[in-house]
Amino acid sequence: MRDFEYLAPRSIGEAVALLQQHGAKARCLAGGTDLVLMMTDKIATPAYVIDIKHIPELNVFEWDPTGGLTIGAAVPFRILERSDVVQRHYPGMAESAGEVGSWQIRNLATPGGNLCTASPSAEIAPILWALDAQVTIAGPNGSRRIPVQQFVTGVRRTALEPEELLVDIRVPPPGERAGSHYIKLKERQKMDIAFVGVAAAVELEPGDGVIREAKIALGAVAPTPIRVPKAEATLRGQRLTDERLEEAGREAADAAKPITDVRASAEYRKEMVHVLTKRAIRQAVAIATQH
Amino acid sequence: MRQLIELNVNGEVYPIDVEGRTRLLDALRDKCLLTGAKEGCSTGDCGACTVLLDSMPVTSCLVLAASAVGKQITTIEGVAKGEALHPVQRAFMDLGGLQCGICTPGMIMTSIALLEENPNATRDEIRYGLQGNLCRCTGYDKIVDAVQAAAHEMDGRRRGTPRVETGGNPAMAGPLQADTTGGRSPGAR
Ligand SMILES: Cc1cc2nc3c(=O)[nH]c(=O)nc-3n(C[C@H](O)[C@H](O)[C@H](O)COP(=O)(O)OP(=O)(O)OC[C@H]3O[C@@H](n4cnc5c(N)ncnc54)[C@H](O)[C@@H]3O)c2cc1C
Ligand code: FES
Ligand code: FES
Repeated sequence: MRDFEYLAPRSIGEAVALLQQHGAKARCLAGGTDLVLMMTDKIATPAYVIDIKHIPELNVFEWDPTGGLTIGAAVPFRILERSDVVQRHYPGMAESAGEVGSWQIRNLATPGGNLCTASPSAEIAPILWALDAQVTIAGPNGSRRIPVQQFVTGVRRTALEPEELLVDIRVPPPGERAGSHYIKLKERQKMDIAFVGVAAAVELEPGDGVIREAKIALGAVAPTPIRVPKAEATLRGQRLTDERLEEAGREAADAAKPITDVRASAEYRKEMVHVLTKRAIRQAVAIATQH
Repeated sequence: MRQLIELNVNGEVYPIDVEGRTRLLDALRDKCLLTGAKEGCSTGDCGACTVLLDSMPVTSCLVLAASAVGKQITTIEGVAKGEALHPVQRAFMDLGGLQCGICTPGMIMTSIALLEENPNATRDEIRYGLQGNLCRCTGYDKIVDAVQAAAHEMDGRRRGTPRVETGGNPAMAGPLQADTTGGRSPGAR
């Protein structure tokens, strides 16, 4: 690992000033589970490492029924996984948080760092895409908020400018009768990267089983996580029948553009998208029905 | 860049000089001379380097020493009370929860945190909790046995019932022998 200067700003303003001063020579550090490895392998060789974990706004983890959930960029996965609020209102998010690495890794690794690394298989991405989350970004001109779908722009590419940092992730409150579910397809039970990740978030009309809103997102089957608007339209305003489910599953598989690599073939990944999308929708609807 | 920092390890303050890039694992081993935490993979996969940061298990090979300033660090050296081993240490010895021993410090640190959080952990919960600790020797069953025995022992102490002496003989381990499922009971994944 190349040596660097370790900096620990106490405010967003201080962090942005450091980013402005050092530009491309600086790198933000959250849990370090990606960055420390990248530095060990000399894939990243920053001269300045800016530890963002001491900034109060980045440690916020707050729920409010009208505003939704705020997840500061320094909050680790373990907090999400264990949170009663997350388990109750966003079960799919608790599931995806619990899928990351091991207990030791989840105590360090953050959803914010997961988004910033922008790997196609990023664990937290599909559910954030399905829940229409937004991210807050701070820079020299103040802060801006954009949909998470616009944050990841390509493989390991984000909308962050060199002088900006991620402040938090905002998840809107779920509807009255909502449910979500995340499924990770992997070879080993733990410590494995997803072949395919599928998230479904649904909301039902009050009283009956009609689907008011359905959102489906896929991970690891395209350069960035993707939504499947076609499958969502197939379900919207409908009751869940086997035919609808089959159609939505097919449409998700069609939308997936996976690659073949040592871990799985494109055909296999597509077929798994089909199967798992159906499973995720069915489960999300089952959860929503209980509300 | 060199800097002087203070690490609080096992209740003692260690003033040490480190570089920006010094990992907590290296600071503990090379500067504090606490060589209990082991380096297995240095990629966060094996758990041999596990220590507790403010009571939470982390892989110290992925933590920068400078970022551990101000936190309570606990290593395997800090879990015994003088000559009295921690019940988890005792159980690993008594029940053969180790062979070569490389994974053991990390395994014990995670197990202690696990029982702290969930004193009545089931075999499946123990296996789940230890997923980030690899062992290439034991086949894990005896590790799970040891953690369960320790849980039993610690529960007994809390209730004030006397300790069941296992005396280093696995055959004497009592209730553990009754569980022959090896954590693979029906319904376990
Ligand atoms: C053993 C192991 C298992 C893993 N398993 C999984 C898994 O199952 N699923 C999965 O998706 N990932 C996994 N990972 C990868 C990694 O843990 C995740 O991507 C994690 O979420 C990264 O978060 P972090 O806080 O550690 O980020 P860091 O390593 O601190 O940072 C990651 C990147 O984001 C940048 N960054 C961080 N925070 C900010 C910010 N606030 N503003 C701007 N830039 C920022 C950093 O500069 C760096 O480029 C695993 C890693 C290891 C070592
Ligand atoms: S040495 Fe840290 S996890 Fe293997
Ligand atoms: S005892 Fe040898 S690796 Fe576990």
